[in-house]
Amino acid sequence: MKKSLKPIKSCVKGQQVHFNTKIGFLLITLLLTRLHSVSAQTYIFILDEVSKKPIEGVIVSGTGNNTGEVFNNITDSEGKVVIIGLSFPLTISTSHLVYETSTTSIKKAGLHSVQLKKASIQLDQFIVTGQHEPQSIDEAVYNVQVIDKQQIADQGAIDLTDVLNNQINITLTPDKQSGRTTISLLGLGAEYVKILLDGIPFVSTEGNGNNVDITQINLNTIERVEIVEGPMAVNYGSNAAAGVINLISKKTAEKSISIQEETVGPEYGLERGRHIQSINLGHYLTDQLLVRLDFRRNDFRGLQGEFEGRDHLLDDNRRGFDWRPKRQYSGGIYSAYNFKNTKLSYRYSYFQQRLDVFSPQVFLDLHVPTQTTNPFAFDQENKTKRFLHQLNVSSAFGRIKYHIVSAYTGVELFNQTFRRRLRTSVIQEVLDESNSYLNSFTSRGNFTNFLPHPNLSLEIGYEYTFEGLKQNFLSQEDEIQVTETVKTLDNYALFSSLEWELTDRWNIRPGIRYIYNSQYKAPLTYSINTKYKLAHNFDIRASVGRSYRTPNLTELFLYFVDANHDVTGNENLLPEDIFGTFIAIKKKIKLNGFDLNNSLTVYYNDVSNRISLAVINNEPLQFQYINIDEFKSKGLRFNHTLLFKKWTVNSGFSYNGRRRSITNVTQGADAFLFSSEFNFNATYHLVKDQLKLALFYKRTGRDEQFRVDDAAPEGFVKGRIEAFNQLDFTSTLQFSNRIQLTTGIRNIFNVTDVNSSVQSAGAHTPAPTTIGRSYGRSYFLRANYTFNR
Amino acid sequence: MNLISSKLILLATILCSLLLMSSCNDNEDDPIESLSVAFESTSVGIDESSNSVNAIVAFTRATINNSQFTISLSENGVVYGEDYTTTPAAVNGVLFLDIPAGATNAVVVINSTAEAIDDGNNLVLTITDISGETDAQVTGNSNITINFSAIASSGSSMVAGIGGPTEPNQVFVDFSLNSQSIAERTSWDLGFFTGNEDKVIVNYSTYLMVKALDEIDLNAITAMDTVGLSNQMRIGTAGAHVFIDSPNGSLAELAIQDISAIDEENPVYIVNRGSGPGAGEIQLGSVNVGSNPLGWKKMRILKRGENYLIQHADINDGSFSETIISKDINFNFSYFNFDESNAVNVEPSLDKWDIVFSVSSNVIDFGAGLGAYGFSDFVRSNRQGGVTVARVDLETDENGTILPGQTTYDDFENSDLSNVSFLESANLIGSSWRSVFSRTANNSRFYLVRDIEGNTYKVQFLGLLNERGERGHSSFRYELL
Repeated sequence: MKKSLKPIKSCVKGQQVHFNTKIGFLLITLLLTRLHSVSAQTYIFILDEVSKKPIEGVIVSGTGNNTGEVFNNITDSEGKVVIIGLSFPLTISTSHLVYETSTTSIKKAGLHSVQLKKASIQLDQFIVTGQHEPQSIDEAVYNVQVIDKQQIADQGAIDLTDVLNNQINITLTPDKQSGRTTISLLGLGAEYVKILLDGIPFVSTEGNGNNVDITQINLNTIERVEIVEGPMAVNYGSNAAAGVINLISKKTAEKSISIQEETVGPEYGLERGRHIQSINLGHYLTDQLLVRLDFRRNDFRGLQGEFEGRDHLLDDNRRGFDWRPKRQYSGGIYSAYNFKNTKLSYRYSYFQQRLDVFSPQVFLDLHVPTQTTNPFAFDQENKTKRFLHQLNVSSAFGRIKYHIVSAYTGVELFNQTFRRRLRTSVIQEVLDESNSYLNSFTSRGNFTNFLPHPNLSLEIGYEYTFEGLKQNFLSQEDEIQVTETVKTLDNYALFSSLEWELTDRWNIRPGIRYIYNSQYKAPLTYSINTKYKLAHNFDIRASVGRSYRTPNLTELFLYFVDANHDVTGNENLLPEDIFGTFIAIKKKIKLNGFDLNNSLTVYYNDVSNRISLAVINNEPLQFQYINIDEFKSKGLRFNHTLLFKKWTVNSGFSYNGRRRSITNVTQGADAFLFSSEFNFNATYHLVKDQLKLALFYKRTGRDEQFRVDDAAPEGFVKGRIEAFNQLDFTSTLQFSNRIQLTTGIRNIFNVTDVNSSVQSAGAHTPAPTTIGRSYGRSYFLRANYTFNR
Repeated sequence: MNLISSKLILLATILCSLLLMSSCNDNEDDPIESLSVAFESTSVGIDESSNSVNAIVAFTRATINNSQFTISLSENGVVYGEDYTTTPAAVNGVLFLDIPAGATNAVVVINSTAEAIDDGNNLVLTITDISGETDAQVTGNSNITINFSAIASSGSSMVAGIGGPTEPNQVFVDFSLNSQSIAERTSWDLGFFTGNEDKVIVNYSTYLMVKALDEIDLNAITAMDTVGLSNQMRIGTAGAHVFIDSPNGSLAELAIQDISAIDEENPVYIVNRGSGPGAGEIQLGSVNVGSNPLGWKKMRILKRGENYLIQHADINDGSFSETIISKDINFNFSYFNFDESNAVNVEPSLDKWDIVFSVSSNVIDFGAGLGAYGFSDFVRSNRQGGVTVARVDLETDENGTILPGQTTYDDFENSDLSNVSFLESANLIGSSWRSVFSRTANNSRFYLVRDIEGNTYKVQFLGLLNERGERGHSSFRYELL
């Protein structure tokens, strides 16, 4: 039941009959009599065995009587495929995610119906991340969570934050100032989670695939999100200690447009709120050549809140926005070509974001003699541009299958500071410009199927990465010179893993990766994954592995030395070394009419050689990044999913602890601090599946962290971020098969800023007392129109 | 191509063009700001030494057209042609000032022609009309009183000539004279007190530090005696405050002990001359005031009669230079520079300045104890010249907005002085007038500065940046109470 990449022909027109689902079967009967007399074509209707409703999207494939006669087609909204010019008898077989496969023989032209039975496992999802070949989620040796396009649509999700918001074990950290949102997974921060797009790291100026601003990851072209927890360094190299989030792009010939309107908190209007327009155009130019064009504009107008917007004239620090406005454009071309056993695909994508910084500080420019003011402000425009060229080849060389993906990708940040006169809103003069970029070339090859033995699968792969980067170090501090750093890094890796089916129940997969890096000495990474099926539908997965986090640019190259300060990076830093363990136990319970999936996962991560800015000398006072600290995280999670009639209910609880040393001050500050999370999601289908209601709830418990405080006797105090609750509600209404309306309320509890005492005061700034979590309760309406149904 | 595809492409085209239109920026011509004009101050005096004074008309922007101002003269006991004349000349109590396009100010010159004019007699100029200029009006100081004797300034505004983000200059400001006097902060190292006591200050503006050694023979000191000192005698270091003078300007707490008439009681000092203005690209809004080290010296200071004798040399030198520094009671200090090996002029005479804008060392709590820290944009007052200062803080809400019902800078007058106590501390203004983080002046705070003649000015700082966002352009306004 693999996802087919075979061509899906556009539907045959003519004979278009409106199909009323309520009396579908009756109509078929009518159609039968009408069509029979006018056509020698073969019409096959695919129906649900129970409801007798037509099933759309069933892949129908088969062979004619004569050699070489093959066809592939997909059912339309009437559950229909048309077959022309094949010799009888035909043998057809069906394939659909939700229904069991059926094979039928058809002896003559005319009308035929095939009834399909729902598969007992409803969502036998296939995943690719870290797999030798695409695998069923149940068979995979990794523990993988999938967020599919259905959930993406149900949540009205625009970017990755919208779907990860209510995931347990994932914490999002938004930042009002920069507009960035970063992620932490299994208690480890954004620099330990690798974010991939079809297996290629999503570059940010912070690094290759890590510390990514996930608000820049647009879901318009995303089929599903695969989250793999546990050490993944063998597969994906550096900074994948907590796991990887792999976004799988859409590769279908859909044609749709959608418009989404959102309030931002209570604010909405032409100049307020959030406005999103998207277009997806996919088309098979020939049976073998698919071309897709995708475009999205995402215009977030910011939240003014207690601020007064761009044109405020008073020096009361109320100019500008609470959440800064930003506008994103993303677009791309995808083409795929299939012949024989070879698949070729190429993708170009482009992203641009503009963040407007309207400075809260208004300079009145008081002219004392005339007692007049001419207020101005130093505003900024921060632009991010990102491009990607990606070429995939998968084919076979003899019995050896290979998959090579090569990508050239880059991101550039461009900041401009200028003076804006506020009465006229005229930009008078550009005062400062800076840019930084990271360009990266990656090529990864995976070679499998070396061994003829059916229970052994060996994979050998290589990965080469080149990074060229330029960064200006900027500082909020009082005195600093601009330091520009241009660096290149080469990274070579060889990896191998062996997947061994020891028994019917027991799989084991050891893997190893050797890395050579031109900048630092990378550790040899390894992992062992295993899966064991116990009796009574229990299965257990475990993984242990060693991963590493590379030092970032600031840690390597910062240079901030003047009369008062001496803070420097350290080119001799070693990568942080992370040992991780992850265990997942699952049990499926099937009873009359309902499926209950239960899981318990536990994890433990141990980071050594952790990089911290530490005092390396007291007289004179000198700070430098050194490998000094330790960090540990551990936790457990329960998750239960219930499928019952028209209900899908999911609930989970997690308990996570973190322990860190603060520049090796371990007395007392090294205790594990625990926090809990709870979530509850429910989906209910109404009115013949045309209306769907969904609820997403997550409670993030109080989070405690130690912060440095020189005034405290121990040098640190315990700070906390208060608990908060997120609740989203959405309803999706399917008007005919072409129009889909989704409305929803996000953040029903209207959580905005959360009290926090975990941040330390800066040298020239007081400690913030709140953390911005969200801009408050907002409402959205999404309309989607699909053409080719 | 089938019908649906072509419809789709049409739709996509329309949608795309709509999007492009909506993302276009308006390209209108920039609107013209209105022009306001006013006299720079409300009164000026004609000094006995010069027989004329300029009445300057300040503009908020350059003129666009050729234009003309009409200024009327109102005489109080003075007569045009007998007691005074003006340029341009007035006829029947009115003069016309022609302003070319592009001008940024205009001047009326008043010449005193009488031998003596009675006190209280004066002349008032009023701008009554502007013709020819687009969107122009008179606001603020529409008239100016011309006094025929020297007066204390009624107030004005200034940008201190600190010299930009490396802040190379010390700017001595005299409110009553509307004047500023500029000296490079690296132009001196030591200041010798001119009063009765024999005291020496060190240069706060270069973070200069001194440490007394247990030695009185200058030639006996070598680099070996200074091992470790470079790590202690550093700005930005806890404990280093003992190597600088008290930033409050008190002569009782100096790094150099009182100079004794008995030579043997005067030790050798090691001197870290601190650092001067840096170079290179500076991040907008930041400063680079101290990245250029000025080196080390050794010295010993003795008394020779009423004068000081300074002996000084580089650390490893086996001989030294000597310079006699005399006391000039018109100044607070006689200044000395190691490189010049001589006395140098730095500050104006002691009654001719009130505050000085200067980079300055200061004492702060490092958590691990007190230490010395360098401040840019610092303001010190003339403690030895008898200037006293008070600070007025207005209450604000948590956003920094001034709460209503308080006496603001504009409202503050003589009668509000009753519950104000003036203090001597030279660093009372210090860095308290500005925020480094927001790079703005604190608008909920102003100061009262009383000079040695008893004039009290209210002073409010307006900013520390120029309109390009560069540091080292501190601006302020002041008004005589």
